[in-house]
Formats: sequence, structure tokens, C-alpha cells
Amino acid sequence: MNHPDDLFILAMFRKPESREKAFAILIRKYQEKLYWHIRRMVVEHEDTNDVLQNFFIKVWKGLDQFREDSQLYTWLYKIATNESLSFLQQKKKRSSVSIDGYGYDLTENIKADKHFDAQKAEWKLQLAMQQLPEKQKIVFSLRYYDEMPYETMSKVLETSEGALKASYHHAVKKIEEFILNH
Amino acid sequence: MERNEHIQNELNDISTELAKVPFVTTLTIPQGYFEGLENQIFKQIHNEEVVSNTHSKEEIHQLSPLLSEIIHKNTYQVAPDYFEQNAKRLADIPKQIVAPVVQFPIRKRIIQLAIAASFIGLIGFFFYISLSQDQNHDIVRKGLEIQTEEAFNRYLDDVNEEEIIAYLDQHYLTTDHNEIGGFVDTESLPDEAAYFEEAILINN
Repeated sequence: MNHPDDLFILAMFRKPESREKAFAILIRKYQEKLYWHIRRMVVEHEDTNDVLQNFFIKVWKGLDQFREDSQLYTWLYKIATNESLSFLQQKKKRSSVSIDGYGYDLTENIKADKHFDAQKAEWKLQLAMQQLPEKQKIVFSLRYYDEMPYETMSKVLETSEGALKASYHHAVKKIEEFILNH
Repeated sequence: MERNEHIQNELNDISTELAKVPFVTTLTIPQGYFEGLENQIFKQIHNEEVVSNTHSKEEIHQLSPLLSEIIHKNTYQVAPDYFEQNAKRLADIPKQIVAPVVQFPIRKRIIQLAIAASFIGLIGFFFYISLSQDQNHDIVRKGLEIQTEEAFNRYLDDVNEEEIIAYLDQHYLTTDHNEIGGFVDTESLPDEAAYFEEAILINN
């Protein structure tokens, strides 16, 4: 069941005269959440900006075909996640290093931030996240930062709730270990 | 930043250490980024739509002013009267007869063959059953078993003399005298009158 705001946005979008206005509302409603979701995966702001813009272009083109059998919110997160993963895959190919190798590069990007403080737990958490496998990182990010219910996450990632709970549990344990050892 | 209580409790159950970590945003973004994002996105949408709707000349001008400045000149050449000759040549070609499309009823054919094969199979089966029940067929089968002279002689030894005599009595009239006569050398045999005067062994 879609949120009334989302149903309103969809109804407006389907009318040519209010299409752009509806899309503007959609951007304002979801831009921050989706920005941070992408940013936690790709780390760099410039990369996040590129992925986010491509994401919204895709949404603009695909929103007409959106079937209301799932929530708009779920659909948007799904596209954003896939766009981020595609971006990371392309980066990996260009840099010709393994995905773990690219994780190392992302770690360096975090450390390069002018506000980075290796002593602070919240920065260690950022570094620890980059050590996780991609899917586990997404699960942790969605649960820890976005506080997404497992049921919704299951639709976004097309994985069972049980598997997601297990994945989150393992992610938390790995991050805890990293924070304690660094 | 306030946390969802349920999620915080869950985290605390898994890792008290991680639950203590301040829930803050460490990564920074440029000032006013979100205020300008909407305009950036619409600009990109409009650019894509303009490109797709624009006439080719305007499109090439937008994509590459340099290419749009190159004079549209055909660099390849062709014989002077090529197109007139070509038109005449094409007019002389008779219209092709469109072959009628005949559907090949493969499925129907397969069914017909299957039915025919079934009938033949049934007939053959009944024929076999009737032959196997025929008693005379046993004699024929035995006859087929006798492949060599040795086997024939062995079989003959088993035949009763009374049976042979009975057979000959029954089939005397049907016996081909000419055929039997063919087995006897008439030149070496004495004439009929001599049979009653001299005792001559035929086997000599």
C-alpha cells in the first residue's frame, strides 16, 4: 500500500500538465535519503552526485511503468541500490582491481576527508563498513542508518528476511571486531 | 539524531560496543547541494528530451559544431547514365510469380502414418497369432528345422513305416509319375517284357 503522498505524486505525474511538478515533489521528498544511501556505498560526493542524477533520470523515464503492487519507496531504493552497484562494478573494471581492492581505495577516500579522525568510533565505523562484502554493507546501511524494516528490505534486495537478519548480525559483529581492534 | 527504539534494542542485543557508537553523519556535503539538485536533474532531463526531438542538423550542431560545419558533399562517384539504365533494367524484369503458400500438414501426415502403422501392426499380430495356433504349422516348423541331410536322415529314422505307407496310399493318385520317372535311368532298364522273363536287380 503506497503512502497517500506517493499516490498523489503518482497521480500527478501521470498527467502531462503536472508531470514536472510531481517529479519535483518526488525529488524533494527522497533526495536526501537516497543521496546518503548511495554515498555510503560509493563514498565520494562527486561519484554520489553522478549516480544520483542517473538514478533520477531513470526514475523519470520509468515512473510511468511503475506498477503499484509495491511501494514507491521500495522501488526507488531498489533502483538506487542497483545504480550504485553498477557504478562500483564499472569502477572496478576501470581500475582492474578486485572488489576488495576497490574497498581499500574507498577506505583511502574516507581517510582523505578533512574531518577524518581515526580515534573516533564513528569514523572507525565508516572504515569498517568498507571491509564488508557489498551486499552485507547494503544490508547494514539500510538497517543501521535508514532503519528499514526487514520486510521492506526483503523487497528491495529480493532476499528472504531470515537471510537479511543473519547478514545484519554478521555485519554488526565484523564492525564491532574492527572497532575493538583498531 | 533520534533512533528507532526497536532497532536500537536489536543493535544492543547483537553488539553493546556498536550500540554505544554515536549515531552521527561523518561524511560531509557541499553547502546548498540539495537546493540545487532539483534544477540539475531537470536540466539533464530537458537536454535528453531536446536531443531526441531535434532535427538532425540541429542535433549535430548541438553535439559537435565542428562536424556541422563540414559541407555535406558526396565523395563517391557513379557512371553518368547509371540511374536511367537501372530504371530501364528494372522495368524489363518480369514480375515474379508469387508462389502460393502451401501449408505442409505435417501433423496430419504424422497422424495418418501412425494410424496406418497401427493397422499393419494389428494385422501382423493377428496373423502371427493364427499361425502359431495352426497345427499344420508345426509340420512346417519342423521342416524348417531340417537344414542338413544328416538332420533329415535322423528325422526320417523317427518316422513310422506305417505312416509312410499310409501317406503313399493317400497320395498315390497325386503322385507325379513323370517326376518319379525322372529319377530312373530308362536306358539301363530292360523293356517291360523282359521283366517277366529275367530277374534283373534294378539297383545294378
